[in-house]
Amino acid sequence: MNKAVFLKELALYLNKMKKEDKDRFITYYDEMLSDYIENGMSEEDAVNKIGDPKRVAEELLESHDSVKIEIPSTGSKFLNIILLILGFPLWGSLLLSGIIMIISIYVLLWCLPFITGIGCFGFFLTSIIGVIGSPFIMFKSIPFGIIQLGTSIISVGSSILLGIATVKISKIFININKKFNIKLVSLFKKKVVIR
Amino acid sequence: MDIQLKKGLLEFCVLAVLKKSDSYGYQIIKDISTCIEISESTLYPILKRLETGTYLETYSLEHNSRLRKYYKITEKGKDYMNEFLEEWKQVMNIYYFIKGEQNYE
Repeated sequence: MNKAVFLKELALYLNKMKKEDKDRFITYYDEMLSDYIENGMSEEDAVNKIGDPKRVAEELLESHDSVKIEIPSTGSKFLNIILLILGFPLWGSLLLSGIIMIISIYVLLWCLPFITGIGCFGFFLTSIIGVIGSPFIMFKSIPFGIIQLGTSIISVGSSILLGIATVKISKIFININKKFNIKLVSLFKKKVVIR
Repeated sequence: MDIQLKKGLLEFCVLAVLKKSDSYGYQIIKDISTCIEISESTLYPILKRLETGTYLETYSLEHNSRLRKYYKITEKGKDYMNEFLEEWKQVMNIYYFIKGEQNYE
């Protein structure tokens, strides 16, 4: 992990903090990492020395002495449960549509690498059959055989290009997924207010 | 060592480092590490607490085309440290008393 990634992830995990406090932490770790690197440590080692951004963030949130954990007032538990049950038709359907929407966005996103992946596989198969088959066609007609060989080679090229595209797109999407998951999880965590 | 005790002692370690000269995060850790283990995430809250209590001040200087935050001990910080040293004289007396008693047994 390099410095930029570390700071980015740390910022994500500190999302619940006030922006001003968060920025100070980020500047502090930015300076610290820069100093480690300047004193002969590799970027990777410096980040490893500081540790996992998630653990660092948790430690910061815990040790900050003005951390105040605000637990939402629950009121009467009994009343809440009754209201929760009565309100189910409303929030249940909203929740369901939310989940379905997220799933459909994921499906839609992953269609792209799926298509390029299938294309890669298809062209690869075509090229194999074409290359193997072309000598047999050459026996009958040289021009047709050469055309066959040519198209096979084009297929190999397309297959490689689509393969690269699949890997690249997948990497981007995995990154997006990861960030989104962190945000989603932080939604359900207890709200922490730094004073 | 007890965590609370260590935290308290680290505060004075930071002040002791700053008493010699103004310093920045990396250097403070390096100096303190010769005596007691301290991590980056432990240092930050200590600095923040000391700054809030006006035991130290901060200023930024440019270094290699980036800003580096320097910490400077205040008069209040120096007094605070002297108080600590006075108090711990008593603690040390007790320490020797306890140690002596055990040796007699």
